[in-house]
Amino acid sequence: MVNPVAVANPSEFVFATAQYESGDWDSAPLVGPNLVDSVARYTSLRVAPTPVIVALASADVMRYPFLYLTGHLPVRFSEAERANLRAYVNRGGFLFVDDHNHDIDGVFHKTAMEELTRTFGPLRDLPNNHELYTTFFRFPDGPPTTSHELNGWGDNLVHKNLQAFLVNGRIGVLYSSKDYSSEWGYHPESKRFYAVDNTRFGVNLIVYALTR
Amino acid sequence: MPSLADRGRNSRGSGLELALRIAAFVALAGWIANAARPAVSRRETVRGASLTAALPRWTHGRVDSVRVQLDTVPDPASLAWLAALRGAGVGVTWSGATISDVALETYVPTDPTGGVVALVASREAEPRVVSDALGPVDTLRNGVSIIRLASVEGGLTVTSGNQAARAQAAAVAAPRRILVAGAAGWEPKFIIAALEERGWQVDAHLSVAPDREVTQGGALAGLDTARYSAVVLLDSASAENARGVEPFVRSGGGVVLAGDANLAARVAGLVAWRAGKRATAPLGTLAGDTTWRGLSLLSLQLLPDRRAIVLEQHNGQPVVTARRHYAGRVIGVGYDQTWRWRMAGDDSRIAHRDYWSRVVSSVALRPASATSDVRTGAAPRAELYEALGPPSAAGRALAVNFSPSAVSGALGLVILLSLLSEWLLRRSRGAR
Repeated sequence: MVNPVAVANPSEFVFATAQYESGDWDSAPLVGPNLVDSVARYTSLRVAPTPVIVALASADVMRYPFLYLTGHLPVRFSEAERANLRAYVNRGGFLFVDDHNHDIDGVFHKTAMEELTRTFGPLRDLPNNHELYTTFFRFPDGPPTTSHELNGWGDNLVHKNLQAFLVNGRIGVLYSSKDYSSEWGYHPESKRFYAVDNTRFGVNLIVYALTR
Repeated sequence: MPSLADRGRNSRGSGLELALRIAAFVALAGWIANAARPAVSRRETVRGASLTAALPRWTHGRVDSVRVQLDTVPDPASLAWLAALRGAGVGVTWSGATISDVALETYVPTDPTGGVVALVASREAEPRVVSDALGPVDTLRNGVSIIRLASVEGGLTVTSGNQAARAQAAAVAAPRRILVAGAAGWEPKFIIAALEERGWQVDAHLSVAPDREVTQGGALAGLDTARYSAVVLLDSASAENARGVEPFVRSGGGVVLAGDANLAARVAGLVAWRAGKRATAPLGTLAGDTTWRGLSLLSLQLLPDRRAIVLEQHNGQPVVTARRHYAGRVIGVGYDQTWRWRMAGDDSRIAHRDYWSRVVSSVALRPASATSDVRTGAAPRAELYEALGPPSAAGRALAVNFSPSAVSGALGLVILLSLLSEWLLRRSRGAR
């Protein structure tokens, strides 16, 4: 079925959070609104003010070429979710997966990586000079470090790289162990308390997805 | 004794008689020479299969006229030989009610994947076999068919019944780059992806903020056919900013105007249509619906005073239009959400890719053929008509010039008249 709102705004960017059947897919509800605010603040891109939630097994996923997936708990994709996700990425969709535990020994990381590997094949380290890091804001050292990496929480590691699965040279799946879900999970109004907006890398993710 | 006047009259009469005698002797010599040539048939009819053997005989011997009953159009050499005989004065007629009509034209499309497009036409209902040097590649049944072949070895042949048409596609240089410009969004992203998947080299300038562009392929140095084959403008802002687009098209480049780009004032001189209202698909339409190609479209209304053609309609309204502008071509595409069509299914992804490649290919600058002297089309019956004219029902020669018997008759008449005149002149002046 057609979403009349989406039809009326054909080129509008809609932030979509993936709702999967296992785990806690809704663990970071403020990330969407916060990134939408940042995109509207820094760019002239047309962006829908309200993020949406879309079931991973649903055909509606294909209406949102940018998809955010996070959680703390084990992730197990159903066959329908796996098939849908594979088709989504092969057709040009961009899936951003973030480990909300910031723990490579945690259940989310282990199970999510298993599922992604089973669906797409092994993910590779994304070089820190990839255009993702310069497409709007410049991050010459690669993915920005989060406060959760620096304060010893989770696995107590600073992860040097993100992992990615490429389709025709473009990022189809981007995986982060850096817990951007915690880093960006606050009300947009609170940006004024930061000397440097820590959601700027989120803008790069969206600009990259819209241009590559 | 004859008077002076009689002597003058006799002198003039004997001079004329001498001239008539000389004329009679010359005509007699010619008549003998003509009669001394080998005796040949005056009219000859052969079937097509015997034509190759008959042509030398007709050339070295003498025939008044020939009639050829053809089952197939002769090969080019035989056809040229017949045309030469006809030019030399032999009456050449032909009939060929059983010749199958088939015509073939091939060309290499401006497309990075290469291949050959073959246009086949025939009146026959019988199947036509398309083959190249390696063997049959396809069988067609419709009267007019357009097929695209990934590769062709040594030219194409289409056989219909007993008739074959052969053509070889002229090679063209690889197309140059494509420039895509517009505001960042799903539509440009997926169009770029589609073109790159088909092998086009794409430069992109996508605006993301008032002072920021995401570029691919370097800075925009200006539109120039030395670098770009075509430019794809995806919104009115990109069209307004496309400086030099008119000279680019004038010099042979192609422009694709998609969605709102058709509204821009800068391209008003290039288009022959006006963007109408946006139509959105009714609730329940699937994004993969090919007639909608992504659920929304702008109709493009043709302006009455400029020439353009409609390439695609939706509910009777033009959606894809095209026109020439000097050496270049412009195409207007009313669809502006084709990315939804692409995401709707795996088949849609391929269709989306092919569609956009076809759109760009239709306007992209076509580099000059590297081997322009290669024949690209073949229509055997047309070539037969061109060489020998239309067929004739009976054995009436199309060209009867100075046949040997006619020459002999004419010479005999000259001899007879000369001698008779000479005798009358002699008798009129009293001589024996």
